Amino acid sequence: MIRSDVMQMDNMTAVEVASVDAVTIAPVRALHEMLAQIAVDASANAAEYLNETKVPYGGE
Amino acid sequence: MASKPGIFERLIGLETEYALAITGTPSNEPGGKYRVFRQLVAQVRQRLPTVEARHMKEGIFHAAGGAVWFEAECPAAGGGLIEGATPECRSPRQLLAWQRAQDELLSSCAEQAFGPDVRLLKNDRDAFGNIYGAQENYEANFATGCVLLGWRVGLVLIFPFVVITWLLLWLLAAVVIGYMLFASLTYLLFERYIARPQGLARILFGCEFDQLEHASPTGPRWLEASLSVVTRVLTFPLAAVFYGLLVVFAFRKIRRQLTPFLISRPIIAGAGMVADDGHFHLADKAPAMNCLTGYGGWLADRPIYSFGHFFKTVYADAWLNPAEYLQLFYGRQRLQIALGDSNRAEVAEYLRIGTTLLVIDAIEAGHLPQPATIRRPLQALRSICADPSLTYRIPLVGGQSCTAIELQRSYLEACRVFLHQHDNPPAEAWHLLRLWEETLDALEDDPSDLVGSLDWVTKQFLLDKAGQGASWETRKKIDLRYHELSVEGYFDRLVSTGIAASVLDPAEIEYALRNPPSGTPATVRGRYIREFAGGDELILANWRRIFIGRGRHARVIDLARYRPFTRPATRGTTRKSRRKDQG
Repeated sequence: MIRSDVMQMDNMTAVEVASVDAVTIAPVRALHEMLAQIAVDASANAAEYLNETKVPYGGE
Repeated sequence: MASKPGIFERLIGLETEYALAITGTPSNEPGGKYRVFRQLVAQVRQRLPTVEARHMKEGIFHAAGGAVWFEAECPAAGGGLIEGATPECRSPRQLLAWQRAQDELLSSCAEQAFGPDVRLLKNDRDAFGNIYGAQENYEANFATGCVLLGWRVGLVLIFPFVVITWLLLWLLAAVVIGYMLFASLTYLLFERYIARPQGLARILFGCEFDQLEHASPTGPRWLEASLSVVTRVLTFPLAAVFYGLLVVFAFRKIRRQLTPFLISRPIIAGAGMVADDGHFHLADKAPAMNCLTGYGGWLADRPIYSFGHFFKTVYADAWLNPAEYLQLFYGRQRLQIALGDSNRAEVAEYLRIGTTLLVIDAIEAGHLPQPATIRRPLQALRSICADPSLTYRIPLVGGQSCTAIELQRSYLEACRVFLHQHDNPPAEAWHLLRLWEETLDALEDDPSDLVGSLDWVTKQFLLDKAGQGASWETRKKIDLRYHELSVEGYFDRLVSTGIAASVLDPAEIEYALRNPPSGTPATVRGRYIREFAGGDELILANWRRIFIGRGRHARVIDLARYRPFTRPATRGTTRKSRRKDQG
């Protein structure tokens, strides 16, 4: 017996559904240009980035 | 009695520990990560109704059903991670949507709170070899028949050990409270008599007195380190005995049949990694695995199957509420897999969750033939990951060998037979099977077809474009920044070129950002949070219950009342339910 104050799955009303039209699609950029940008960025301050992203002691 | 759910009906969920890229401020100073967590949570509160978690870990639950935790790994010494946990889901597509929504929520909150100074990384290993990252949870049969009976008898027999451990922990808690009183009195007595009271405060509290509100939750560094050691010593006898029980009784059938699948899974789900020696590996976390089962970091163990949550229930949850101990007697429990990488590519993440779920469904249904047994699983795992050519032959018991692709195909075919024999498999299962097969075909024929679909292939593509002459630091930055959740992250940059294949419609993620998944305990949790958060009545939550009000007027909503899931009688309702989740 489910308590009366608990919402049951069968009683759930229709939920709001997001519209695809509402999502802004970013313009597609040229792959070769992006790869060149990544190569430049990767070589800049690389050691610094490795330090910035250090996770002392790790996790589970 | 343990039940056998059908296909894609069990509860599943993902936990993700996010690394932080912090510029401009000293991130590793005492309590630094904790302060980031507090500010991040403040941002989440502005976007969604939230409630405090009633749990040993500090965290919140939000209206979309999931949680955000502070994973306190030595925060006073500069450690600590932000952990996001998805709500409980049923299907792989549902889980993928809520995982992507969580990535979006936390990364956008970080951007709002800190601008470009703090970004989240969804990865598993930093440049210094520290491990963290993803964990998968699948509700599954812990044991059945005599094995389950043996487990329950074992739980009863070790209960005196449990009680003694609780008493020792209460004693320790009393000592800590006594210390905090002593420290406060000492500071208030002496602050006016010494020239630099800030130094005294740092020793006693780990920070200055007026910053106590934002201090590390574990106190000063010396106290944190001492408590960590003392807690391990006090709980060790119980941990050892309890672990013995778990190894003998927990998920024996699943572990036996699932392990070869998991060992070969990095060829699909690995995130790729540049190792210390510069070589490229298929997976980030897998090479660090050092045991099949363990508690997960308790004694530097890195298991494939983590039993840490069971031990936490015994010494932490049940310590505060002894009734929680009874949860361990249930036949259905949470199987936690700690082997997987945190994926950025949707296809890889979908396959990681979906194929594992399908194989577990087949195992529990008794439709999976006994798979080949790998002679040395951990060694094979490391060898598979070290071979991007995918030609390594895995030594099997009996003298034979096979490649990881061949091993994956054997599971694929077993799952195909399973679906054919099933009365009414969901359409998603067939779709997943096709995607799995196409991926294995592409790995065999030309892995470059999978750039944008599999993480390790995509990362290797980026590294190749950087050239062999690139320094280790540059290659490692590509490895790490690939996982950064921002417009500067390399995977996100690739997405903007249209090269990354997607599984989800953007509307599904938009929906999952604000709503809990339907048909799971999270549905109820999320709706209660939306209704009661910020109201006059106190509301707290954990994974099992909602607590509303105080004292004699307190109410407890047991979310377990919504299990096990029963498929609605009509197909129409099922599709409607699925459409809701998919937006």
